[in-house]
Amino acid sequence: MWVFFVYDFILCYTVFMSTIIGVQNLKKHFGKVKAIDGISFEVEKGEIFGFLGPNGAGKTTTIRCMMDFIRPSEGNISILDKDAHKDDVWLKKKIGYLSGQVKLYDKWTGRMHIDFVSKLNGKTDIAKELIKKLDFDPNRKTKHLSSGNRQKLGLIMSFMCEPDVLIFDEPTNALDPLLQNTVYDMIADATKRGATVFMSSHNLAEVQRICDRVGIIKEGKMAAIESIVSLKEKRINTVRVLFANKVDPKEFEIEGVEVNKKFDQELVLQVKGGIDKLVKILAKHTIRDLEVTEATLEDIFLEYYE
Amino acid sequence: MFTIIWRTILDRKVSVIAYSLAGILFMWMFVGLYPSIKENTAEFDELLKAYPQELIKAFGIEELSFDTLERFLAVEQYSITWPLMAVFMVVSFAGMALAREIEKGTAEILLSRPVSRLTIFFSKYIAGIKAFAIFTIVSIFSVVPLAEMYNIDYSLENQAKTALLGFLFGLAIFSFSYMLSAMFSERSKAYMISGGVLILMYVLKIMSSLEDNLENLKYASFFHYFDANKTLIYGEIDTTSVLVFLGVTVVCTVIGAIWFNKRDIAI
Repeated sequence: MWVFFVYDFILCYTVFMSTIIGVQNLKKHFGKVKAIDGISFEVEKGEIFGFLGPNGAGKTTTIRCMMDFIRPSEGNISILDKDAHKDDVWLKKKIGYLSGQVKLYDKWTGRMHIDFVSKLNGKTDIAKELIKKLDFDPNRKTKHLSSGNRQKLGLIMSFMCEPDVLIFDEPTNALDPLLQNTVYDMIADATKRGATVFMSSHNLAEVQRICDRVGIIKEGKMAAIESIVSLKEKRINTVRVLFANKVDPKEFEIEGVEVNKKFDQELVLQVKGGIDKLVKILAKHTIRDLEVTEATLEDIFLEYYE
Repeated sequence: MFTIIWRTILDRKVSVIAYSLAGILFMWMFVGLYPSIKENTAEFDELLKAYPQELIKAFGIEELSFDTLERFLAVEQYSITWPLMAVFMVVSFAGMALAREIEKGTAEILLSRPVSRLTIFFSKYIAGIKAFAIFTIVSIFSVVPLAEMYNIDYSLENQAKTALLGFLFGLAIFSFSYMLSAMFSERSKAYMISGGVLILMYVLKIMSSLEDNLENLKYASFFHYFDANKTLIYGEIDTTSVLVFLGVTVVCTVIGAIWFNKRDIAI
């Protein structure tokens, strides 16, 4: 009997603990402005969850609520099975946070920032290793640092205590491609040791490259939560057709096909799902040129904003 | 907590040193002047008596004589110079401590660490109190070596009591400004309101001394309770003053702490 009990306990514990971040019906209203309006999502252990949306969609507000900088109007946020507000001190020992534009004390050096964070975290860290890895000079005052070097310092401060959860708000903003790659590598390394990553971005290529799943936020509401694989599988194609003769665009207004541009002998169509029906209609015409382009993640993303 | 306190004091060390140095220099100036003033006490007493009564009242000059160093300092140093320095120092420290951190975004460094908001609030509050205590001790007790240097008699007990009253005066203003700093995200707002209220208090004190029917207005002014004449000359500290300063300190600190703990900090 006890074997079943232990098994049940382990099973429950595993299932329970596999959700690292849980956001339920989160709302944040500033007066009449609904910055976030009832979003819910979960992030699993070891996952890299991308949080996509244009400026003003509610990404930063969500992250500020998760970090307990601001308090939700409604809803719950749990991280590592702890309440993001009530247990914020405990949680912040486990969370590494980085914003797109790192704010630093101008009169301090990088070393002073690192020592300060180290003392506040109160545990051993890997700052030295990170300084070396990022080729960062910690002895310069931060007011003399370039935006890239400021972001390096931000990275060191967020990664140095080897947190279980990384919450990033557009972390690669204003970084050169080399440094962006370093950030991606560091995130990948963190997930290898079991860390969970939640990062907001409006850089689709970045999300496509490193995230496992993506939440798309639109005007404070969650428009969709999809895995990157299933997003790509939405199979949106752009078809450009040059006909030998003038054609009637209405002929192509069938289910799943949208006429984006029309000229006398040329059509640009967006096709969702299979292109079989379209090919059958095209076969009735003489075609001089045909170009089928697979949609980018951006096209897929824009789908949610129509 | 200690890390934040220490770091805050280090960040403001230049300001603490500058204010303390200014306090010493003013004290030096007045103590240095005093021997020549004392030599001509009779002439100065006559001159003071010739001043308009309203002016004498407005500056709280009740003792029209410079026969002791304390009487001279009560008029010259503690009627406006020292309180003004104290006000500038604590209001500026309070604004820098929280509102500026939020305004500049550096509060995110503290808020994203395993430190509660109350710890942040009280760490910076204690740092401010320590800095002001340093200024108070240095600026007021600098009279001891300076008076010895010029061979002038002084009352250490009265100076110590003035330091205590001055500290409580600064503490109350600091607590009030710090509460505003915890409420606002721009330090200019905290400065503006603190400055506005203190100017109003000063005006109320002057008005109350000019018009008999406005006399009660003085009770709404911190400057009324900071009675350097009574403390420095006679060594008396008014219990009401102590209670008012401590009361304001406690109320403002509690409101500020609760507000800071509950508010949104959009960095």
